[in-house]
Amino acid sequence: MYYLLAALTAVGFLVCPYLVFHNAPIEPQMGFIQKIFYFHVPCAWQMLFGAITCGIGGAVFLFKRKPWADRLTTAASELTVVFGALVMTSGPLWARKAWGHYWVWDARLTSLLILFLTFLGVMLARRYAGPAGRRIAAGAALFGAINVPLVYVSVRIWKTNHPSNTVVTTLSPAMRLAFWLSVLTFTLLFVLMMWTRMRTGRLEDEVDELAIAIADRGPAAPRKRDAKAPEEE
Amino acid sequence: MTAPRPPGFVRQVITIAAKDLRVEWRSREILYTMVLFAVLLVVIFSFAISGGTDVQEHEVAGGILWVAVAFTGTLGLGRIFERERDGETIDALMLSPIPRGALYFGKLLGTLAYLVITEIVFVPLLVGLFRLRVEAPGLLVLVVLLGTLGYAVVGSVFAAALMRVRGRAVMLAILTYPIVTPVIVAGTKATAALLAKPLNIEGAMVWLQVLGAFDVVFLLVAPLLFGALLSPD
Repeated sequence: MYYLLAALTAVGFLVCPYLVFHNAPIEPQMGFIQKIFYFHVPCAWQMLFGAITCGIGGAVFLFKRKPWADRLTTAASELTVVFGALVMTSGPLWARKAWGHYWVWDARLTSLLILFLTFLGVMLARRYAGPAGRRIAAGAALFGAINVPLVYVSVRIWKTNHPSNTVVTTLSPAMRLAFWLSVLTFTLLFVLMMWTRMRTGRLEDEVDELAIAIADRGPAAPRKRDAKAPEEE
Repeated sequence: MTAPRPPGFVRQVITIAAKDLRVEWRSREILYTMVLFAVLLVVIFSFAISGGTDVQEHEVAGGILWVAVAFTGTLGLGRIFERERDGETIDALMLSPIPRGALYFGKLLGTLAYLVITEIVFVPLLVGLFRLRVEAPGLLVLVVLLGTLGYAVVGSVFAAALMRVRGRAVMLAILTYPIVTPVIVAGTKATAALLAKPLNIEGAMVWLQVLGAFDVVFLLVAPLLFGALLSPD
């Protein structure tokens, strides 16, 4: 199943560029630069998807303390950051051509930046805050997810010049096919990466447990390195 | 023999807050450092920004005000919970038979008191340094209070969770700032609208609603999260 998913994702990444660059027509207004759209928008959706997943994972972990929820939160926070980085590199390339600036203080751009920073914080807390990091990351993820609409509304009162969602419904058929296939491919990539990361997370947890078990048994022979001890201050 | 009835929720909240303030009053360490820090921030920002002829002074002053709230808030919150940790009094608080919600609101009230006292010093200083006229003092106070509440509601959750984490000072900023973005944006804009010549009441009201919405949402979520974040895994 895992390898099937990987294969499908790979096929998607082979077919999509063909559809995007060969089948989909050049958009008359923006020209070639519009092709970024097939990359940018799917990534942005995955980023939002990641943020929501991360918030849900955080809530489950905080209130139920299931280890899988922690792994989900961790994986989703990292994916949110990865896709956020993709969105925020592809966006300015388009914006430079369309608006003449790499960055404008627009509602969507600002919200996305804040979202990106929030989940970067979640990721860092998970990684560097020691044993409490799991809880703190979960809490920050939940707060961050709840905050999304508030951030959006608060920055929306500033003027907005980002193309709206209605762009998607006005695409020509060839563009639409390329676009939705891109979305599908990026979704597959998201699920694949999530899966991989959660599997790694489970292995990490198992390694930790084994290391603790070994440390509990006491040193049979002098060991080179101490097993990882809990680092509570 | 029946056990004495525990005090009610409000009573518990006030007891916690009063305890914090009483301890503080004996040394006044946190307050003095917060106030001095805020004053220095305001003065340094004024040096750095003002002086130009076409500077929109009310906009700049609004920005400085909320940056100062965010910075001094982080400083104060870190110290408040560090004090509990250093005295190992947090364990006693956690063991005491009061709901976590009461503990949270007690801490929140204490934090608010520190921040408001600090603001009483630096806000008039800021207004004076920028030679601004406050035509709607009541509304300005309301904006500052609502914004400070929003900041403290989120900040005290993370400060408590980070109590035993290495590098908590910077971690607190990393986690809190993105989430309080709506407060900073709305606070800055509302303050600027109220300090503008002529006074812009309508502009301020829009942002006041954003502040109110933020406060309500996070006041509902934060106490729940506080309990979950402080319970060990």
